[in-house]
Amino acid sequence: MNAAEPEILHELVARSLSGDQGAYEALYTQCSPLIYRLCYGLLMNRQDAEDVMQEAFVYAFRNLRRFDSKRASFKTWLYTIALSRCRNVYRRKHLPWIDLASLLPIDLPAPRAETPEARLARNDLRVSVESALADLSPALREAVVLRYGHGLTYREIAEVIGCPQKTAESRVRLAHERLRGLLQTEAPSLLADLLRMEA
Amino acid sequence: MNRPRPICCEAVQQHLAAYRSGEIHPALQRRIAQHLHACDSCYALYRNNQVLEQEMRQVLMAPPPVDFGRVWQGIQVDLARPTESNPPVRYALLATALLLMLLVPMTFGRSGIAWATPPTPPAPRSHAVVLLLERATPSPNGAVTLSETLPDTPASTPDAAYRTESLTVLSIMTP
Repeated sequence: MNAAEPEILHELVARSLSGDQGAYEALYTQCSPLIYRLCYGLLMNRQDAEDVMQEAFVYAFRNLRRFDSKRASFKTWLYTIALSRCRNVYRRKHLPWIDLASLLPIDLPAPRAETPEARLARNDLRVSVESALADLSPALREAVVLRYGHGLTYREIAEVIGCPQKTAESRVRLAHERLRGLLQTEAPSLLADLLRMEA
Repeated sequence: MNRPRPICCEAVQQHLAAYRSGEIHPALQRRIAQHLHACDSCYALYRNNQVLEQEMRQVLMAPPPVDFGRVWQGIQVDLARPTESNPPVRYALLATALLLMLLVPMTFGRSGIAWATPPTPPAPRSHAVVLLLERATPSPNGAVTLSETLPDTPASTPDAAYRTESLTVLSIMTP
């Protein structure tokens, strides 16, 4: 969101409601990078993420009068709208994830110093993490994307997902366990070597 | 200052993510810190998660580029279109259609609605016997000649009993 403050967003909402067309565009400019990142993180497909972002903004702008700043921040409200549309896409498509893991060698070379090999190994780890994220269930992925892709607190995650805060916490923890398990299966030495390298 | 109460590995692992972001009570934060200092396996898990989080952030913060200007144009086109009717309006239309489907057959003809006209019960057979007697013409020798007869009825039906009964009445009346 280009670090837009909630007050700025609320002012833009108020201006939009009073008929200022420029304020709509400013809201879009402020929020679209965040919403696109959320949608891409959940759908892992650029075209789907673009479509959902467009749908979410159209819905939000048409229903701007329904937004209640006492109940949630504009950012949270917009996240909720985008998330619900992403869920529709999961249901429609059953998420045909690209299995990047199948393209990876079973045991990747260990990163050593910052050599070209080490850089390559780090990239491999990133691909492994991306693949492992894609293998998570939608509920766990939502929690992880909001947590690490958007830096939301557990309370905010709970608000967006629509679950108790404890559930949000346990979903993030379960996602960690699942990711560690997936990474150990796909690339057993990567995580340990990276830890050693960083120590 | 008192030393914080010890905490078990399971509880520490449960709160690791919240511990890293400082989203737990300071007292619990101190207990976990103390445990991590002493427990190698929990500390290894803590470091492991730390690296994993860094990698996840890298992956999730850098999606492929997108043309935000093109999407904005799409949004403007969509906003310019007339809105669909609201769901409550759609539901009201559906309910009206269903109501009409029910009311039209009830108003015109009532065909197909079984409860509208219950079947008329047959006239008691005893009335028919009285009618026959009224229409009977007595002969000079006192015998009664029936110009009409009761319709045939199966022997096992209750009507057969009426027929038998009516013939008995006739035989009593004839001298």
